[in-house]
Amino acid sequence: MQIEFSKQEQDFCTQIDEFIVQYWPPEAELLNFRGRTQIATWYMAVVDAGWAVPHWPVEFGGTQWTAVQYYIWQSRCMAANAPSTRTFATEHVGPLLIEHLADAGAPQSEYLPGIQNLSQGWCFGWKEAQWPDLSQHMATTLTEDLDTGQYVLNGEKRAVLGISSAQWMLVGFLPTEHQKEHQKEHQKADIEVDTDLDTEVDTEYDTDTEEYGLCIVDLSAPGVQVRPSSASQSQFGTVVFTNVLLGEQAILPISGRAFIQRMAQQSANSGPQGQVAVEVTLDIQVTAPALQRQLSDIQSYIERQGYIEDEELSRDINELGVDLAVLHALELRVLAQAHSEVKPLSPLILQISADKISAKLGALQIASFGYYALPDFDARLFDNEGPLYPHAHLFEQNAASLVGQGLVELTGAEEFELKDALASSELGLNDTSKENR
Amino acid sequence: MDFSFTEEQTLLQESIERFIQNDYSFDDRQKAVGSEQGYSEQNWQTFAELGWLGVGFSEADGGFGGGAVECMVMMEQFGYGLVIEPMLGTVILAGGAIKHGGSEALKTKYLPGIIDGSAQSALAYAEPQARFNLADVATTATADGDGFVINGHKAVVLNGPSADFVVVSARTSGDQRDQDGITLFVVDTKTAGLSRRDYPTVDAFRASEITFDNVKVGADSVVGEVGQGFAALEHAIDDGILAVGAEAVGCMEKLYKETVEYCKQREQFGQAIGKFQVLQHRMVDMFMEHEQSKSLMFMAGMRIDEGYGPEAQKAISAFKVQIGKSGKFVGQNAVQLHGGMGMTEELSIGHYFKRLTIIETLFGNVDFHLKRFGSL
Repeated sequence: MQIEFSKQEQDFCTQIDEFIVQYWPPEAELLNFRGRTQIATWYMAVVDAGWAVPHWPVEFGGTQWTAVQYYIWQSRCMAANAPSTRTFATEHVGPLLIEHLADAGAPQSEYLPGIQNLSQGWCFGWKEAQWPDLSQHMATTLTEDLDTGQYVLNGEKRAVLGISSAQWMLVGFLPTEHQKEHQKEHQKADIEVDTDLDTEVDTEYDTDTEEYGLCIVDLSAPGVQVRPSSASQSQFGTVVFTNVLLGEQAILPISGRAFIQRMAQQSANSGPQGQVAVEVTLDIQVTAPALQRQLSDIQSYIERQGYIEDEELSRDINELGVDLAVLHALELRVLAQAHSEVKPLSPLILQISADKISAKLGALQIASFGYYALPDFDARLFDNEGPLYPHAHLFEQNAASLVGQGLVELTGAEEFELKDALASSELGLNDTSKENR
Repeated sequence: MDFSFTEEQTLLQESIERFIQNDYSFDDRQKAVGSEQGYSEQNWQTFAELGWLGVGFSEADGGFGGGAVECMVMMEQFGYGLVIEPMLGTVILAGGAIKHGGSEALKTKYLPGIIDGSAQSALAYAEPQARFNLADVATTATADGDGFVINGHKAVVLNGPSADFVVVSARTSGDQRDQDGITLFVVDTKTAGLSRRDYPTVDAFRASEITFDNVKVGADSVVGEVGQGFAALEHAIDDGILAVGAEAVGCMEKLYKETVEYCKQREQFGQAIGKFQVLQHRMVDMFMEHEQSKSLMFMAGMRIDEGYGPEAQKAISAFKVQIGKSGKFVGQNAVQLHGGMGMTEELSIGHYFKRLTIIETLFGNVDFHLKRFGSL
C-alpha cells in the first residue's frame, strides 16, 4: 500500500498545475462571477491543449489518459476553482452521439464540434408540470407532418437545469406508434448491452412502462420559448414548445429511459465492468477537492468575520472536514481499485456521500452567514446594484451559491434509488416490491 | 498510488482469517473471557508461534519487520473475531512506547519477551483527572541518587492485571499539563510500592488502577530521554488508535453481515424482514459506514507508514472520529434489527456493540478528536 503518485504521475501533476496557474491564476477567481471573458479564455486554453474531452475516444478528441491522470486533472481544476469542463454535453450528450453515429447515418456528427470545443451548452428537458413522477404519461408530443415529412413538437418542460447557458436541448417526448416500432429495434440492443451490467433496474427495462423518445431541439428555433426561473441563480427554467418543426436527424435512436439509465450508470460507474458508452473507466466521480475548496472558503469567511470562536460553527467545520477526508479516501480507493483485481468499491457510495456533504455545506453556509443568507443573490441584482454586505467580495458570491447547491442535491432525491441499488448489488437483498415501501 | 496489500500482508490477513474461522469460535472466546486471566494463554502462545506478536517490530528487534499497515491488517481481523487476547495492551501500547522511544538496551531487554509471548505488559498513561489529555500527568518521578522515585495513580491500565511490567508516564519537570517534562519508565509490576486493583471492563477486557507509592526505579528504566517522553507516548497512542480503529472496522463488518443474514431469515407478516425497504436502507447505511471507515483506515495506516507527523496525526484523528460515529451507528442498528436478541449474552451481537462502545471512548472520543483534527 502506498498513497503517493508515481514519478510520471507527479510530473503530470506539475504539468497540470503550471497550466492552471497560467490560464486560471488565483486572481482569475475574482472575475469568476462577472468575468465571462476569463472563463472563455480558460475554455479556449483547455480546448487548445486538447483536454476538453479527455474521456472520449481519441478519434473524437480524447486523450487516452489513465484513470489516475483524469483524476489529477479533475481534482487540480476543482482545487483551483477553475470552470469545469465536465458538462451535461461533454459527459452525456457527446458520448451518446458518438455511440449512435452509425445508427443515425451520422447526421448528428454536426453537433460534436460545438461540444468538443466547449462553445455550445446543452440541457435536458424531461420533467413536466403534469408529470410529477414516472407513473404518469408524458404530455410533450412529437407528431409527423405528412405533407412536409417533418416532425412537430408541442409541450412544456419544467425545472430544466442549465437553461441560461444552453443553445441545445435534449427533449423527452411521447412518440407515435410508428416511432415506437422504430425504438423497439434499438431497445433490444440496449437490453443486450445492459445485461452485461447485471443491474436490477435493467432487467425490468420497458416491461411495464410507457416508452418515451428523445429529440434534439435548437433553443433559438421558431416556436421555442425559454422562460428562466425567477430563482435564476439555480439556472432552472421552463421551456415551451409550440409547433416546433424538427427534421428526422433531430430524432435520436435511443429511448429516453435508456438515456436516463445510461446517465445514472455513467455517473456511478468507475469499474472496468462498465462497458456502456465511451471510455467510462476514466469516469470516476471526483467531488472531494471541489467540496474541500468550498469548505475552505467558508472557513476563511468565518475566520475573517471572527465567528470561529462559535463552538457550534467550529464543530460543524471540523465535522465536515472529517466527512471530506472520508470522501477523499473513498475516491482514492475507488480510483486505485479501478484497474486492480480487488472487487471494486461501489461508486454509488461516493455519490451518496458527496450529496450529503453538499447539503451540509449549504446548511453550514446558511449558519455562518446568519441573516445574510436570506437575500436571493440574483445575478442581475448583483450586476445592477452591487453586492450586499458582507458579500462584497467575489468569494462570498461563490459561497452563497452553496445554498442553492444544497437544495439542488436535495431536489435530486436520488438517495432512495441509490440505496435500493446498493441493497441489491452489495448486500444481496432482493428488490423491494411496492407494497413494502 | 496503490491500495492493495503486498503478498506478505495478504498472507498475514489470510492466516488470521483462517484462525478466527477455524479456532476462535464465539463460545471459545466466551470461555476465555470467563477464565481467571480473562484470555487464553494457549491462544497467546499460538499468536507468538505464528509471529503475530512481532508483526509491528523491526527485524533488528526480533520482529516481523512490518509497520502500521501490517498491524492494521491484523487488528481488523481480530475485530472481526472479537479477539479478547491483550494484543493492544502488551504489543501495540507498551511494546510501541518502547519501540518508539526506548534505547537499544531497553529494546533488547523487553521486546523479545513481548514477541515470543513470554511477557505481558501494559501502558500506564491515563490519570483520574486527565480525561483524554495525555499531557495531564500528576504522577511524579523525583530523582533519587542514580534513579527515580515514582508517586502517583494511574487509571484504567489496560491489561494491567496480567502485566509483568508497565511503561508508566510520570512528570519529572514542568507543570501538570505541560508536554515537556514527561518521562516514560519501565517498571516491574513486582516492584515494592506498586499496588493494583484489578477489574473487568464493559467489553470483557481487564484493566487495573495502579498506585505508585515511593516506587524506586533505576536510571536504566527510563524510556528515551528524561523529560522527553511525550513524543513516544503520543506515537504509541496513535498506533493504538489505528489498532482499535481497525478492530472496529472488523467489528462493523461482522455486525452488518450478521444483520443482513438475520434479516434474510427472520420472517414477519409472512415474509423475510429483509424485504422491507426501510430495513434494507438501514442495512445499506450500516454497510456504507463500514466502507467509509475502512477507507479512512487505509489512509491512516498509509500516512503513519509514510512518516509519523502532523499529516499522520490528522488522518488518525479523522479516523477516530469516523470510527466513533460509525461504530455507534452500526452497533445500535445491529442490535435494533436483531430485536431483543441483540443484547443477550448468548448472541455475539451485543458483545460486538459493547466493544465498539468502548472503542469510541478509548484514546479520546469523537469530540476530543474533532478538536484535535481541527487544530492540526
